[in-house]
Amino acid sequence: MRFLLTTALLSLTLHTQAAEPLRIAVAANLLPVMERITHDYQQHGGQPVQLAGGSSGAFFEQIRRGAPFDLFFSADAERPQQLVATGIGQGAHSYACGRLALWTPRHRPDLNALPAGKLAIAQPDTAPYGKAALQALERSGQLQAVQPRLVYAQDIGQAYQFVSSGNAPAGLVALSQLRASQIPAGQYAALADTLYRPLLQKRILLATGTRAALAEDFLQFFEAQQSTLKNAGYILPGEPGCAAE
Amino acid sequence: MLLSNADWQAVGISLQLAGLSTALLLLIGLPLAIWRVRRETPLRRVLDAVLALPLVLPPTVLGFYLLVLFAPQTLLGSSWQWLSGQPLAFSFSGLVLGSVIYSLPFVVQPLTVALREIPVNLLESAASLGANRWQRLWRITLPLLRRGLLVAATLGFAHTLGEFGVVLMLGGSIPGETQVVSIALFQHVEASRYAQAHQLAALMLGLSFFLLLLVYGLGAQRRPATAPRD
Repeated sequence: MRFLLTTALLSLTLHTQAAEPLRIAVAANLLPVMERITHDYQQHGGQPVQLAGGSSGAFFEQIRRGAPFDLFFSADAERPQQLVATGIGQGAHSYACGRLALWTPRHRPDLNALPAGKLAIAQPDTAPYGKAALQALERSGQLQAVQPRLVYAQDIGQAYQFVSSGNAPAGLVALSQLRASQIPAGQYAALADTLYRPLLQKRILLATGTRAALAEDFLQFFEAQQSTLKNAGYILPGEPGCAAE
Repeated sequence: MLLSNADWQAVGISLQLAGLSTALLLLIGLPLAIWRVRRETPLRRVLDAVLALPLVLPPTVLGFYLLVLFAPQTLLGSSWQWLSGQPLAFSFSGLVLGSVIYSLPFVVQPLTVALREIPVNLLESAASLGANRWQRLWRITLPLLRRGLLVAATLGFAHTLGEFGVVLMLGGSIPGETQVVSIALFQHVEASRYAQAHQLAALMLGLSFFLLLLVYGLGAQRRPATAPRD
């Protein structure tokens, strides 16, 4: 009887462990691309994957308090490194450099001639793309004029949504979002990479034990998707404008 | 308390938002509550359900619909832009509108309960003595409703103060305009500024407790006041 119970319990725990999908925390800028990659991954026989999109700052806070993610794809390099330094996760590795784009759906995109009304950027404190946006406005000399018209989104996903819903006539968003949504090329322009510090993005492995192998399997597939990342508007580590480490 | 200027500004915005919304809520909520109590039509059931919606809906649903509705391409968004010269989303006015919808049940519900407690025969005798509708409202309903109004106002104020999801969806977190306390606190936490987060959180906790104490105090006093009428 006891044997039966033990095996039943054991198989139950084993079963739930196997059925638990791989949980990946994804910075909002990468989410549209990651959705495509995980879709392809499952087409190629990969295990189920669960994606959570949000700002890197929010994920950082959650992960350091033990949020059950197996992988974390940040929009910056600092947060994954900081997690590793405090003993959470391992293998901080650069996977791409993000690019900022000015999106003005009803105007010709020009940072020096922004349309009247609000300009949406992500929250500079918590979203790396927001920090880069602020830097670009500063370096282009527009910050002072545009400051009173800034609206702050929680992450780059919300910045995109503020513009796409028509509430903000302009926004500094991720090039990857615009490409993923197939926005007509005349509506946006990638910012010159001299305007902001490269958005080097790193990921870390959080899974331990048996789940680490599952996460590694996904990472292996992800590493092979460089052309997808490139087409999505990212610069790959090692290419000009994106230092390898 | 060593709140930064930006935090005090957020506290100010929250209080203004809650105050203005409460005033509007009472103006809208009282006629609605009177209509609910006096009229027994099939339409009332529909209205009851609509009024209770903000209780059930996730605030993000409300925020999302409002953001869509506020866009300059819509009738509401374009007429507002024409009238005020600025868009409704990301503005203090937009938050007030959102808060009024969000907190409406918290004002209408206590008012309805308080109105039901007013004896109908009192109003009927006043009418038979020649008091018209407005005289009955000013001389009988409103004085008897004083505590109900206070409870409704306090609940509406407190609920608006605690608003997060709606503001998150359509506020744009502009300091001095749409950055309320709950949003400022959220950003402190996300940016690992715990000391500031703790201070704001403690302030909100204290304020909310005080407001609830007020509500329960008012509720407890109601019984002896109504006793002589029975």
